Amino acid sequence: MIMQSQLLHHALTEAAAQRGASDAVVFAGKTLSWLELDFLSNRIAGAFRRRGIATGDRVVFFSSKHPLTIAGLYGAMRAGCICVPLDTGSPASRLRQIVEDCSPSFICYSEDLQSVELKRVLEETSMPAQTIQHLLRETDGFSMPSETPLKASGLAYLLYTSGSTGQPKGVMLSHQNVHAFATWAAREFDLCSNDRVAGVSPLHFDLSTFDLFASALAGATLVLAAAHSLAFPVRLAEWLEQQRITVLYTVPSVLAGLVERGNLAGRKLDCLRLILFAGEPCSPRVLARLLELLPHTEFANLYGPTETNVCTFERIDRNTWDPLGPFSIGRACEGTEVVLIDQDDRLISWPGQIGELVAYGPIVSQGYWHDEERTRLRYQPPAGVPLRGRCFRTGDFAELNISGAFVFHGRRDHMIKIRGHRVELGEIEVALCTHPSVAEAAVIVAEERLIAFVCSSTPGLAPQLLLEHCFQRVLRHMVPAEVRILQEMPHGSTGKIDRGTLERMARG
Amino acid sequence: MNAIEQKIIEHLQARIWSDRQRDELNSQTRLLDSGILDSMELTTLVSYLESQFAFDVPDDEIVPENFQTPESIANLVARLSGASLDKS
Repeated sequence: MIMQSQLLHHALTEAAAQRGASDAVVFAGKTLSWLELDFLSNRIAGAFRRRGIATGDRVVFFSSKHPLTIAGLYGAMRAGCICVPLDTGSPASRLRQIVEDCSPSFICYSEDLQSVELKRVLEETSMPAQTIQHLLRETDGFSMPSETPLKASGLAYLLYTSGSTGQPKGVMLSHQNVHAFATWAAREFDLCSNDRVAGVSPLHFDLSTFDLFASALAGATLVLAAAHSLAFPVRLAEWLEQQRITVLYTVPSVLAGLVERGNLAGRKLDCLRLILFAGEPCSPRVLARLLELLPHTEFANLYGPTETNVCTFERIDRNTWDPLGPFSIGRACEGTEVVLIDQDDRLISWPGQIGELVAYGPIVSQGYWHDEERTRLRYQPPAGVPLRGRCFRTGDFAELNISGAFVFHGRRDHMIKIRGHRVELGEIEVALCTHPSVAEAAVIVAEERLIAFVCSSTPGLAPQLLLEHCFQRVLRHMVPAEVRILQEMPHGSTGKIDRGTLERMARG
Repeated sequence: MNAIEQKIIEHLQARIWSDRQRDELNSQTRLLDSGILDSMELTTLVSYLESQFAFDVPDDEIVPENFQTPESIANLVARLSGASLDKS
């Protein structure tokens, strides 16, 4: 498994050379071998070249999880392009923002996706857009010119996450970044060619880099879940059994669905040797049930924002895990250094003191696309830490416990997690404020629901109207559960919106 | 269109952001393929059905076949309320 190249598509070439005819991707009863996947990705790379798409160009993927999309991602990388997978549930305004931000040379979309919103964006741009099937018809796959030399420090992905200013931020991941994570994960969890890895995470979500590349490095089979399977826990459980899935990496909300509605007790899941979860803390109640229902499965909690992929992890020890204990995110992954700093950028080395988590190492991404200011702010090394190399200030707070593991304390800003997805409350507030009747807006979380408070002097302004306004601007999981209209917004002495008062109002 | 279908369509209409999609919504609209129902919306819909029609949707009934169109959801509701009436 040890390879010289850190280019992600070389992992595919290598798997094709080593494993040839064995299963690379399984979807809806059909199988692609490593050789086939390699051949298809070559053809797609050839089609990109013929179209004059060059190294460093962005290619947007607005696609369902399909073997051809996987071939498309590899093809784009092979042609030296940067892949920009998008959330297929995005409203047109968000798609427009991202397309304007990354100015792609090409948009790949899936035939089966009937997105009205995408159609709207494609109608207004002159950007070339095609399905992968169409690209495949443009070349024969044998005409690929000699490979352009690419550097491992070159970008492989732009992954867009919620931005507090209302503009999604594009996190730049190099080949080396993703390769470092995938290599670590494949080694740490002993992935091998017998493994059948579940592909359940959407491609715009960094969890999918495990599914694709840790599998490729280990020669494991990637089994793609059907489009709606995550919504139907009973079907997901059935699929895990039928497909003899051995490794599942997902967000805790999917695990909660399986426990609550998946009828896991009636399933034979002996093959499922490993469940990894990340994105947000897993409720101890859900984890306790899983440990009970799946007595032979190993569990591990992975931690890290998109900017670092995974930087710490904790294997759940069945014998010592305490559901009432603090939420531990474990220790730094091998090859990564994680430290805590105080507000003056000094290193915290003693247990018990809370500080910000800062990650160092090859997993640290290259910054935000076309946003040098924010990149400087978040990737600037703290003066008081005697470590070298790239680092990222996560904005997450933690303390060290006496055994040297990090205990998670959440955030000090307005970023929250919904179903493992990052949500900047500011992004929703900005969206609300673009409505002409809104003077001021604040969004808070109460009992896991988003509640928007809006100050407006327009008489009879209907909350439903503002909800619709949000639906057209932000992703569905960011739309508040409720909008309350206030004559006046409560402010603190500094002039800032008094969120404490709003939280009390929401409860009361 | 029956009253149950009408209620389901109204619930969905209130949660659709695309005006085109909202206007075109009818009892035969493919809710899963069009992305109108994702995992989050499905959870919202199931709790709406449970509170509106006063029954529990059994786990085994939360499958794609029952949620393809407003009509198939209405059929599910009719079946489940029939079942809960029988029990009482």
